Amino acid sequence: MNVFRQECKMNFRTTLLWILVLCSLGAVFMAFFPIIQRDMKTFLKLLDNFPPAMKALMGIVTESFSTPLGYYSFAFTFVTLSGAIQAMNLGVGIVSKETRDKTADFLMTKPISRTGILHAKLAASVVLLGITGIVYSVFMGIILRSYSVSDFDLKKYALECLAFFILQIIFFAIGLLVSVFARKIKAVLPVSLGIVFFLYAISAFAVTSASDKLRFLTPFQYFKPDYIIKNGQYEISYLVTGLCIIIICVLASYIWFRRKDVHSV
Amino acid sequence: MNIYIRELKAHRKSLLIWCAGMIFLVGAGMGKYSAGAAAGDNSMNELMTQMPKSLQNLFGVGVFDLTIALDFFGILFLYILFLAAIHAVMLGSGIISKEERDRTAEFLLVKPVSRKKILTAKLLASVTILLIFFLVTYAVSYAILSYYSKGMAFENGLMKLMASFGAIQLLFLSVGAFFAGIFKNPKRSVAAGTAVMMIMYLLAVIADIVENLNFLKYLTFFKYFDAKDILKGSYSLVYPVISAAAIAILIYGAYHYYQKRDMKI
Repeated sequence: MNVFRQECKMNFRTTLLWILVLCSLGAVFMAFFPIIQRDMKTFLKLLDNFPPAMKALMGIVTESFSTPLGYYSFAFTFVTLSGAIQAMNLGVGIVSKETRDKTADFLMTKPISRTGILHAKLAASVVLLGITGIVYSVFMGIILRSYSVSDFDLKKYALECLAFFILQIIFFAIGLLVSVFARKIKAVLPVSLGIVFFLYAISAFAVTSASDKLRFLTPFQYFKPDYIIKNGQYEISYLVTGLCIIIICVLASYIWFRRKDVHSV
Repeated sequence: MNIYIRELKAHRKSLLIWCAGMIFLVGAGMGKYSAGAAAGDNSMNELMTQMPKSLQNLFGVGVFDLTIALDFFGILFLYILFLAAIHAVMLGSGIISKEERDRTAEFLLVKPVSRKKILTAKLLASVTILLIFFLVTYAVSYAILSYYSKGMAFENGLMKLMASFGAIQLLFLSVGAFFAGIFKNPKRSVAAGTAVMMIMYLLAVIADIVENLNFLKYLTFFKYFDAKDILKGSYSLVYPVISAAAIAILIYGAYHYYQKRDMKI
């Protein structure tokens, strides 16, 4: 419990900062919605003739780009990118920092098993990411509501918010696994930014269509907002893949961390 | 000279990974061109020019002819710049602040070299690394463009784009070095540099969507080298001048503060 509390305390300010970043990012994008909406009327007819590759690039849904929620799906790409960085930072950092800051000896000599340590750290991270998701979702929900007259679909919005949270957990789990497997991580940011942007680049450029098998490679493609808005549900195979990644990464982290050779000072 | 060689060796592995990432991005991005070009003929271009201004800018279409390989590369170019910027800003701040992060600052500073010389050696090493990254990117882009261009002239346009690529590298290297010169906390300097870079990227996206916020263009380095302006004439020479001034000020600041500040030991 002490480890849990300590982690929450240590990461509290960073989390607050990330919440601020996410909220302002979403708000800035939504601020341009009226301009886009004005242009949209003439554009809607033309959009139908776009090649699918172009449409897939930006995640546009032809029918709903003019609604706040549809436009939000476009902003969603950038928001998930930031959210992924936050989660990955947390995942890569939370265990490796003990070795980096030379506090591993201190922690390991306490009467708590390694499994216990990981339990506490995981719980703290999930709580922090959960708080991030909830605050952000409520904030954006209010903004979206204020733009929509009557057509605000709460269920679909909730699905998008949940997708955001699951995505964060996926990235957190990947980061955790990487940090546990690496012998020593000198700096968190280069590692996490590298992985996130690599996956983002695959998502933005290599994936050409909805049936592309490459989509399984990058979590950014697991929850397509346009699909959620159209069908009001997730794509099951990708949801399952995402959950499997979480479970495998976390399990492997436990197994490996228990027998890892932790270097002392 | 020892420091210079040491730094080059220390960055060998990460440089290799970055180069691989860049090759992948250019390859995968231009791979999309073949998909897009197959789908779109001239009617697609016609359609694009009828799009509202805000959306045209967003996609970088209208100005660009998507059936020409070089123009397609121009759209991809913002992302390439983005990758180069991440690399440069993290290199600039990391190469200086890592001494304090890894607690090797004491070791280095008691050697018979002045701080000024240390900084010079480190910056020279950074520029060398950037140059290698630059050449790799140039070579890959050249190869892939000559493959897709089918005899159409692209050398001149590519050269201009790559000149701006180099300028972005230097700009963000100086941003990173500047923050590493100021901040005592090594974590903070990397984070500050990255934050500035991300905000500038976001501003570049916003400046694209909203036409009449022209002053925004001066706030973000990414817009100093807009592929649209570079490839289609109308490039203002104000930008290179501002860039040179910015680099000079930032590097001067880095030297100034680094020589004076306390080290974190």
